[in-house]
Amino acid sequence: MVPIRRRLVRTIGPRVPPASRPMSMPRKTTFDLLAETQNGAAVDVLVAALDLADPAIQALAVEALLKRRPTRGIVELVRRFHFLSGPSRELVEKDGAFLGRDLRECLLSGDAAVRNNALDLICRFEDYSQLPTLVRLLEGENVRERGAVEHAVFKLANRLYEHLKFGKEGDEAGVFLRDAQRVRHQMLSTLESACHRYPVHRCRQVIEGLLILGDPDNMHLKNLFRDAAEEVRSAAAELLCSSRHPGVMGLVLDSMSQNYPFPAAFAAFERRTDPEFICHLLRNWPRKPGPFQQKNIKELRMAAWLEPERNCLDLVPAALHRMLIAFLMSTGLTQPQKLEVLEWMVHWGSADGRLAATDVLVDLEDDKVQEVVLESLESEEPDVQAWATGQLRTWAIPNAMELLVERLDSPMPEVRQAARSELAGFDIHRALELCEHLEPRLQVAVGKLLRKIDPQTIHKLKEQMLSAIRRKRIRAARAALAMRLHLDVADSLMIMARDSDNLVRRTAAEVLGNVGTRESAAMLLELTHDDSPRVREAANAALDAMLALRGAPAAPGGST
Amino acid sequence: MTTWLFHLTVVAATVVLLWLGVNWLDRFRLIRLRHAQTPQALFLELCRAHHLSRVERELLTVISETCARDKCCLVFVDRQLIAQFGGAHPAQAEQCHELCRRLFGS
Repeated sequence: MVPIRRRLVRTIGPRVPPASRPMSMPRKTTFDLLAETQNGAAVDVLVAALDLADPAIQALAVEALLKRRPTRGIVELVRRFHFLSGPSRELVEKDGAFLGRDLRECLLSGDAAVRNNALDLICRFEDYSQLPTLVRLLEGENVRERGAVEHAVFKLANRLYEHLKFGKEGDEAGVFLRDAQRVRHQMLSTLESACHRYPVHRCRQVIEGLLILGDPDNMHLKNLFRDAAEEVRSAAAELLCSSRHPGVMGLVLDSMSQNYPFPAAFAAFERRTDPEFICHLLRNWPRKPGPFQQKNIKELRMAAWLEPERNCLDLVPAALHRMLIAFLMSTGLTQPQKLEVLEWMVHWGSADGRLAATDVLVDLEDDKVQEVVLESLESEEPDVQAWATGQLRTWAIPNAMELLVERLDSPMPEVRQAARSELAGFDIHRALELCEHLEPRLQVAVGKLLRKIDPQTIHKLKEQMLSAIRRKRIRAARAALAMRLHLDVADSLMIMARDSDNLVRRTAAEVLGNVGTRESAAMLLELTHDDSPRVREAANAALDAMLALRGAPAAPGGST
Repeated sequence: MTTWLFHLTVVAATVVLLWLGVNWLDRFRLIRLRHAQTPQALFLELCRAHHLSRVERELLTVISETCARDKCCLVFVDRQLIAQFGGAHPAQAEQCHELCRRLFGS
């Protein structure tokens, strides 16, 4: 063997003085040269450097390979991807978007490790341009990584869906896909072609991808449902009934806004019972459906999940109960079917759902609700009892008022509030109108009841006592005494005692005689010197009554 | 005298021409070697890039002979090869250490 040493030493140029030697970053010098040289042997050196333990050398080798981009080197890089150090992986991920051609070579290579890693990288880099190659792989025979290829097809479709659906909101800065619509169009075209070859590859993810990315107006999707072979259309219809991807479920919903919806979408509405679909439907069903939606949904004669015996209604979150009732009423289900759901809702639904169902049931005059209301009054659930309390008058339950008054003292705040709301019509204004016509015993009971119904009763009574209309002031003061609320409105009585109207002052004097505080006694003494003889007379009478009641003058500062 | 001078001139001219020819051929061979797609040519390129001295190149060539012929350039990326050689040849350990410093930094 001719010693390489002799040849090399002889052929190299003159020695360079030490001062001019590049002492800084010598490793970078090496790898820069390896990245730029025309010599193909550099690739072997770089590949060998990938296997070294030194992460810095590895990273430099990766950087040089990515700069040089030799297919053989990239294939080796992909093969080792999972064994690379963190910084080296980051470099690959950073430049990964430009590896399209090389990744295609990796996919087509027979090496399982290279192919698996390439599939992983395609998903990471969201390399949508690889879809035709992936489909080609699926159409090949004996592809060992078939599952991984199918997963990659689905993942690409899903990722693009997220880009289209959420745009900038769903992505971190820098990964926003600017030309998402163009990519979608290309993907749909590829997927549609692939769908027509379904009997060859039998990959449902290809059809699912088309359904995820398509919309009811899309030409490719229309072609699928119109021109594809029966087997393909059946698979697509089956996916509409089973796929839990939001894109597919959205397609089912969106189809209803078309003049001619996909028949498979109708089948999905009728057959699906999975909670994902039910929730998606109720979350996205519009509050005011469009004309086509209304027309189409009226055609829906059955919906499996709306049959109470299937127990699918239990899966509906409480927050969607109201929407469920709205959707139910917009369908073309028969009256008994609807009644069943409404009665279920009254029994088991959330407060909101019960109210919505009750509103509908009132119109339908369903007697079963009365039983439910009476049962619910004994419920230990505060919300349920509160709902039943609110329904007492609506459903004309016997002794409704008595039951309502009882519930004003309920230990459950929700129930007390419901009873107050129901009795809100009976307030101080109504009581003032009625007070004069009631027996004294009832007047006192009304006073107590008013305070339970409306915590603001005293405040409102004071407002009446200070009203601009004299008649109202006098009536309120007398009612306060009759309902035994006069002790709580003493300050307003003091103001009335200084009123310019002598009839008001006289009424105030009469009521103040029953208050019995030192302040009220002082005010009565003051009124004994009033200009009006009727007021003086009333004040003296009140003072006499006060003294007679106490048997002695009022104690200073305290109530008597 | 004239004849002797004539012969001397002819011999001198022949020697000069021969030297020039050999030198030209060597240069041509070197250029071809540099542009060859071989590990050896790459080795040369790397040596030039690092401005290695004749002694350093010689030593590096010796070290590279511990690898397979087509992997002679590994010495530029794997410092372990130089370190192992230095360990096995204590007389050249110091030179190996200096070479490591030149090719891989501190």
